[in-house]
Amino acid sequence: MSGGAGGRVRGAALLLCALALGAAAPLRAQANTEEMLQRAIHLYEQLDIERALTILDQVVSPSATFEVTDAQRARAYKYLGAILALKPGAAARDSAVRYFRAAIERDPFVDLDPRSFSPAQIAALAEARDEIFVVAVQPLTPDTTGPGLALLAVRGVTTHAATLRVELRSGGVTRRVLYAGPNAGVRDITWDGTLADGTPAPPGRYELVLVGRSTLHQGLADSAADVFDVSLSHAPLEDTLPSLGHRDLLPEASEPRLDLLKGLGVAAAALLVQRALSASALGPGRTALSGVVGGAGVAAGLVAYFAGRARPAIPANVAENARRREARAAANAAIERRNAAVLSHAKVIVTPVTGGGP
Amino acid sequence: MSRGPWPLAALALGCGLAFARPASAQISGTVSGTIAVVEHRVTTAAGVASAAGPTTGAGIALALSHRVEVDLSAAGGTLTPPGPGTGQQTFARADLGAALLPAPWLALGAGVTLLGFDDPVARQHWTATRLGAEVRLPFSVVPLTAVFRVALYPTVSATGLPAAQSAFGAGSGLAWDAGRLRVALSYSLERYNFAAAAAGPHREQLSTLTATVGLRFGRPGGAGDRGP
Repeated sequence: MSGGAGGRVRGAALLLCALALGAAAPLRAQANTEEMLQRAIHLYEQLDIERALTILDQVVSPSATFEVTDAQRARAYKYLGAILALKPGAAARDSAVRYFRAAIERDPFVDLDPRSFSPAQIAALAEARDEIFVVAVQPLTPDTTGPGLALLAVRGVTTHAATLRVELRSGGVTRRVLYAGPNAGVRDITWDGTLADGTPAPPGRYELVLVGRSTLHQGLADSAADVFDVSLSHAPLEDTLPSLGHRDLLPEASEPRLDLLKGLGVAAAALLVQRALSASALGPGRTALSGVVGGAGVAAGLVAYFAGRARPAIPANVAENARRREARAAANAAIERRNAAVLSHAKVIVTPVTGGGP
Repeated sequence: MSRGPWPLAALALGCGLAFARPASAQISGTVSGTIAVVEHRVTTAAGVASAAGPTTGAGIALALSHRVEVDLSAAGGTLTPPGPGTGQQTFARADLGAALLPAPWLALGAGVTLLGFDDPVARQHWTATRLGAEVRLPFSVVPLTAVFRVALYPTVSATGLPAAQSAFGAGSGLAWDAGRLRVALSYSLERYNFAAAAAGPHREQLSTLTATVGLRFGRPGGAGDRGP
């Protein structure tokens, strides 16, 4: 390999390394934030709260060196609140409540484990919850439910005592109310994949909407929603039969003129066939042969014409058409019943939608 | 005629059977008896010879589905020339056909027709293939159906005659239904143009007035709705 070629290879390798390092930078930044959080939590657990406080302040600082996610920021605020709740004095407690509020605003599900946190800390968190009102829902994960399968679990929260209504909506219409009643804190809701009428949710886009109204602060309300798609897995369905067309039905009104034309047409055709189609060298032959059919055609046309004039409606045909329509409707009803039976055993497949509305 | 009528007939019957659904419960049809007056006219060296007379026959038409029909019929009788001193002619006819119904009022068919003329002097057999269409128009009030039909005979072979240059037929009629009973009346004319011989063009013509009484079986419709 020549020296020039070697230089080009080294240059390309350096470029690739630089690109790789550039792509890895945000991940490393988050990892550094996570390391800082873990270190602060460890120090807090070792009761070295001043050093923990310093690190947590760095994490939530607007001039933080590393990228901080909302979840990481919520955890930092949570531990900041917990640390300040341990400090004496009203100012520290107020700060603790303020930090807890900041944590709740970023993660309404934030909580303190009584086994790890003191009653004072928990009380400060509860005070923060009482001060603000937030409703939230945890995003659904891909799942399947249906007859014989586990129910879908949905977790929602109101930060303090409230009335909560959990609805399943599709196309802006409420298709089922999953819960309506009082609530304080986290609530687990289940869904079996059916609508209010007990039938499986038809395929489409749905919205799980939680609407809460605070019972502590009059007029304070909040809502949260999660969007997901529903598809069904079931045995093939039968197609219903099409409606009966005019070809499938008998005429319900007489057509005297048309009938007259048909009779005269038969007569004319018989006479014309014998006259026009016969070979000139042979002649038409016995005209009586076609004349018999010609006479019968004229007679039939006249009889049908006058019969039609006398009876504009055809009751027998009306009755027969009604029978055919009933038979078709009954057949379709049977198909729909069979399809409903198939659908009642359908599996409901839920797929979360990211970044889309119904 | 080079290949004879049987490939076409087999194709028509094969198509009919292929399009038919295999549910035997769907099969319906009509068995019928016929009385007809047939007039046979033919050019001869002396001019035009004709013979006419009654024939009787029987037939069966089957609807294999709403879309496919097959039919078989046979008739025979004695045709008598009008003048004295000439011999009678024994006439026989058999038809086998299949039809597809793209619409309830339209049948497109194909088949084979066998004719036999037997007189003291000669015996002649005809074999013709047939392609045709039949239009069936029911009346609104009375249980009548007007029937119109046309046919082409692409191949005609007859004993002692060259292949026909052209042959065709047409007809019309009425069918009256009363329950399972069907009564029909029809007229048809068939014309056969053979190649010119020394005596000049040879033409033959069959005019037929047919009265049919049939009894339908199986489900309503289908072959029971066939024309006369």
